[in-house]
Formats: sequence, C-alpha cells, structure tokens
Amino acid sequence: MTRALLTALGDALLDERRQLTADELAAASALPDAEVPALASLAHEVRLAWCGPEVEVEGILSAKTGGCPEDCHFCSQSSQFDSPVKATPFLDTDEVLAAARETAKLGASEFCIVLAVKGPDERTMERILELVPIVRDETGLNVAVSAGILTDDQAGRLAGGGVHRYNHNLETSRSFFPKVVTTHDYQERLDTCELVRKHGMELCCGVLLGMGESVEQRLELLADLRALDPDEVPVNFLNPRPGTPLMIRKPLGPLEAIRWIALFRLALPRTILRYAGGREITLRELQAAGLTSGINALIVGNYLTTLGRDPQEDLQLLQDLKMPVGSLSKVI
Amino acid sequence: MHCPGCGRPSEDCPGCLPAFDPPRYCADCGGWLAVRVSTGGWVARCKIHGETTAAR
Repeated sequence: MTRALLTALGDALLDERRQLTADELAAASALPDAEVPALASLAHEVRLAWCGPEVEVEGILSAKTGGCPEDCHFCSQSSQFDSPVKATPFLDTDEVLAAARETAKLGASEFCIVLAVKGPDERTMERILELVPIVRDETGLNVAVSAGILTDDQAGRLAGGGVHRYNHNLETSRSFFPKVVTTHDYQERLDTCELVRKHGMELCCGVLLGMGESVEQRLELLADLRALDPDEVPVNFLNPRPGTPLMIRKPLGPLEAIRWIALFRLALPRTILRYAGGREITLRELQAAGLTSGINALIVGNYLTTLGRDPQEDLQLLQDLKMPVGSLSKVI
Repeated sequence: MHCPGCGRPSEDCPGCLPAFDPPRYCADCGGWLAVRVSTGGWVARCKIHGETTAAR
C-alpha cells in the first residue's frame, strides 16, 4: 500500500508532470515514520526534475528591529511581549550596505531588507526606495524587501523602485492564524500577497511550522499556498523565543521536519523552497537531509535577531552535495 | 558578571541565553544591549560599556 502510494505520487509528478491532488497529499502526510526517507527521496527527485540542481543563497538583515505593534505570538520583535530583543531604529545606509557586502562575498544572489513594522509609513517607504538601488548597484545583489502589509500604491512604488522580490509570509493556515495573531487577519496577508503579484514583483511567502497547528491545518496551508502560487516559500521552524507566548512550545522533531519539507516540495514542485529560521535547532546534524528532501534555497549565516550556522559550513555542504549555487528566479 | 540572556548577576542565573542567540544583556553591568545581527556577525552596544562584536 505504502509502496503503491509512493509509486503513484512519483508517476504523477515525474511522468505525467501534474500537480498532486489534495487527497494524494493527505495520503502522503499519513505515511508512517519509517517511510519518511523514501518520501524525502521522491521529493528530491521531484526537485531535480522540476527545478534543477541549483541552490539559491540569500542573506537577510533586520534593518529596523523590534517595537512592532503586532502580536504575532512567535515573534520576539513584538512590543506587546516582554522580550529581551531591544528595539533599534532604522539602520543607516552604510550599515545596510556593509551587511549586503558580507552577503555578496558569500556568493549569494539575494539580499532581503526586513523591517519590523505592521506596514511602511511614508518615511519608511522613502528610506526603502533610497536603499534598494544603492544596495543593488553597489553589490550586484537582487534586493528583496519585507515591510509588512502594503497598500496598492505602496506595492506599485516598491515595484517601480527596483524591489525584486517582496516577502510576506502566511505563516500558517487560515483556521490556525487567529490562535497566533490577533492584531490583523489572514485576509490582510493574502491581500498584500496579491498586490505583490499584481505589480510584478516576485512573491516570497513563507511558513512557520511547529506552532501547534494540526496536520490538517498544514495541509490547509499548502492548499492556500498552491492557490497563491508564490515564487518562493521559505520554510521556518519555530524557535521558541523568550518572552513570547510560544516560548513554552518544544521545537519540531527532525523527522517531522523532513517529512514536511518533502510534502512542501511534492505540493509545490516548481517553487523555490528555502531553508529558513529554526533549522539549526530543529534539524541539528541533519542539515544535509533537508537539502536532499526538496529544499533548493537557503538563508545563509545569521537571521534577523538570532544566529545561524557558519556560512562556510553551509557552502561546504552544498559543494559536498554537488549542488551549484545559482539564482533561480529565471530558471523556474 | 551578568547573564547575557537575562541580565541577572551570574550567581543568580548560571546562563539562560538560548543556543544561536547573540547576547541580549551586558556581561559587565547587566544592562540591555542594542544588538545588530548581520549575515556574518553581530554588534552589541551597551550604553555604558560600548560595543562588543563577533564576526566569522
């Protein structure tokens, strides 16, 4: 039965080259733990067939940290929680440029400027529009931005200002979202994602697994993502942050993380699937396993307020796996 | 000395900074640090004791 299911999934994605149905994904999510390596192996094959061997490397920078009015229960940058992360103002241009140069030196093709805001005010918009061309022209990196909920006018201005990709995460399913965010709703997030597409920017729309959502809610999230069809999906795993409501949750187990990386690849065969925050504490020594379970991009080095692996370890890993570093925007 | 995770004196907290976190409080005075994290390192600034940096 299990063998037959994996064969059928492989036939659909590799021979018929069609997307899996919701029922097929649900069946795959129920495979026993012993079959996770086989599921991961199929996901790797699907990734190679649909996306190729390249891996996109990106650096990110929190250019304005903390003091966010929203109450995302996983986030140490919310002003509503007693978090040890101190709010700091918008970095100056030299600081942002120095961080971008660090990223470029590692062979990355993307650099994302992230701001802890509900949405950009006019002063923030002006700073972003000033920074994007400077960073792009000085480093040759594609510049992505993450600045919260956008209006139609703001999305148009960012697209016109050279923003290559805009990040706005769904994080979780519509049915689970109110359990982790109460200051804005799921539809507002979807609306911003649609505006990003409307104005021609690439859409980066990530998830955060391990907040207490059920298997059914992860499948629901996958369905929403398939409808949205983002260019990139960063896969984050909860890293419980001191002072936040989710600080008491335990990180996802590594095998469960690998299972869901594989399921995301099977559900989104041509999407850039990026290793993102929390992978260090979730997968521990199994970092290579994610890269052979469907991942084809990664955030290198540190994150917004936490630290990542030594970039050289990840670059060596890619070399060992014979996965060339490349930009995927135009490949997929 | 103070715990870089919570700022309490070391005798009260043996160290609660999570793995993969930069320091949040000054080891010398326990004061809150303004921390800037980038791809290759971090800079933490204490109002009294100045900057500490870590680069790879």
